[in-house]
Amino acid sequence: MSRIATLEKLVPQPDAPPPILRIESAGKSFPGSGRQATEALRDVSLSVAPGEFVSLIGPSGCGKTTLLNITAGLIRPDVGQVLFDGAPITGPNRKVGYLTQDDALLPWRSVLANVALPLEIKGVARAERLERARDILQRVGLAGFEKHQPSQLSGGMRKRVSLARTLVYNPAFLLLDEPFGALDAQTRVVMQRELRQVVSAFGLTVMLVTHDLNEAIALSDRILLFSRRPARLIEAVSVPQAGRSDVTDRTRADDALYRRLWDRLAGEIDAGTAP
Amino acid sequence: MIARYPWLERFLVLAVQLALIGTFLAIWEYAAGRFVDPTMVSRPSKIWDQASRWLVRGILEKAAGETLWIVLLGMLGGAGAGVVVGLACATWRWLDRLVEPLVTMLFALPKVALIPLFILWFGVGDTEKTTLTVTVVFFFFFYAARNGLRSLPQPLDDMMLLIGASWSQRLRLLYLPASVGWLLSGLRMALPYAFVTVVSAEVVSARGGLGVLAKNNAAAMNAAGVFAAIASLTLLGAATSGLAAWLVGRSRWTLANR
Repeated sequence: MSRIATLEKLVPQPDAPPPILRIESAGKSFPGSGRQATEALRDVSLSVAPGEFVSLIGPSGCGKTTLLNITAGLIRPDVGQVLFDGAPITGPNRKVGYLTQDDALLPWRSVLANVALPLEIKGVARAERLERARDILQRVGLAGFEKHQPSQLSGGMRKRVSLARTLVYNPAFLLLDEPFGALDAQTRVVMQRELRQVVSAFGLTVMLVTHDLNEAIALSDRILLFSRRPARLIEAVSVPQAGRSDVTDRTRADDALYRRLWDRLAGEIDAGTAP
Repeated sequence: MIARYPWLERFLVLAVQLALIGTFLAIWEYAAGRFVDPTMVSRPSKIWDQASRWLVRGILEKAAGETLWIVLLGMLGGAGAGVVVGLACATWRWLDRLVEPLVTMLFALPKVALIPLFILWFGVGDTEKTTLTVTVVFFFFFYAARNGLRSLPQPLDDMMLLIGASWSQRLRLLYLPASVGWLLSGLRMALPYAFVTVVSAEVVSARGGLGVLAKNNAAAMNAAGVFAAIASLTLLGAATSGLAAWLVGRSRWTLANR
């Protein structure tokens, strides 16, 4: 009964376009140490509409990343169904771009060659792929760094290279797993701004995992709050100021939302650490 | 004081090392015939004489060439087989569970014990020596390739999968370049053992090579000849190992140094 109610709340309005991602009653366990398996997800249902920016928050290690990996087709849920663009995901999902805390650049390749890699895999001719890589590097503010090695760049710049590589093959859907977690606070705001710009310029749908409630509030249209492990969806809230003109803009409604989210989250964290 | 001038420190270390070697050779030269029987230990000047006579007649070059040739063949064969099996084991977990314990078991076997068997199978000759060397070199490259690939950061492999890379594309664009550092250190470790193996096989039974030169001269009670062969082996081993170390140092293809 309660699950049906949750589902209804999450299904988009009748006049909205069909969801690009639809996860139904997904569950996943991993073989743990010894005989005990670790249950990461339990009965999670959610859907994401095209063009939506959704953030997933919850206690550390609760299984949010597992949801992204399922959407990326890197792992399969034990139970439940995952539909992407109306079709079940059976292998690595090439329609998504995935950006993690690790920038996953190949250290022996130049910045340009790193960004062009996805096109090289696709068999795009050399001249065209380098042209497209140059173009996208310019759009993320890295013109002039094409010939650098990744080791010569700062953390923020490497993140941009990683973003450029994700965008170069035109994915419609972006999975972000704490992409700016390793950056300092100022660089993080700069990157958040840049991300918003890129997302609106490319018309991307985004699913973001973050520990930073302010980041979730500043960037998202909708925030999904998960319980401690095994992750269950416990609350879905729309951000009142979605589509603000700048990530640093803040209203009273944001403060209220922050407090409300934090209270729920703190409850989960306390429950998780209690003896 | 010295620590402030690294080149001076390096120069001093080298000078002391050379002085130590020179002192050792001088004592040897002086003691031979006075305190020690020269038919057993010869003396540096006689060894030098012997080596230069062999060099003029081309005997040393030919023997060194024969030894080096088998080392090269054995390294190539062992590296090829080791890399293929190592990469396969790192890729397929079930294969690894099957093969790795067997490889580790065989690694402990002293390969020199196989010499009689290989002589039985192939007769005395290049095939026997090369096969033996391959069985030694294989293990170094097996572990280098397998552990190199297994220590590859998972996000890199996930990234390649997500951008749609096939297995052969991942091999060419990720696994092999990422393994170069490991393979070079495998090369550096395998090389001295390849020399040990080839010379052991030569000493047991062979027609040519530095090991044969040492053995035959020992049989003829020519200590100078034995030492000349040993000195040549030492120089050859040091030179090839130095080359391998230089290659490793030059390599920027390692994931560790990013």
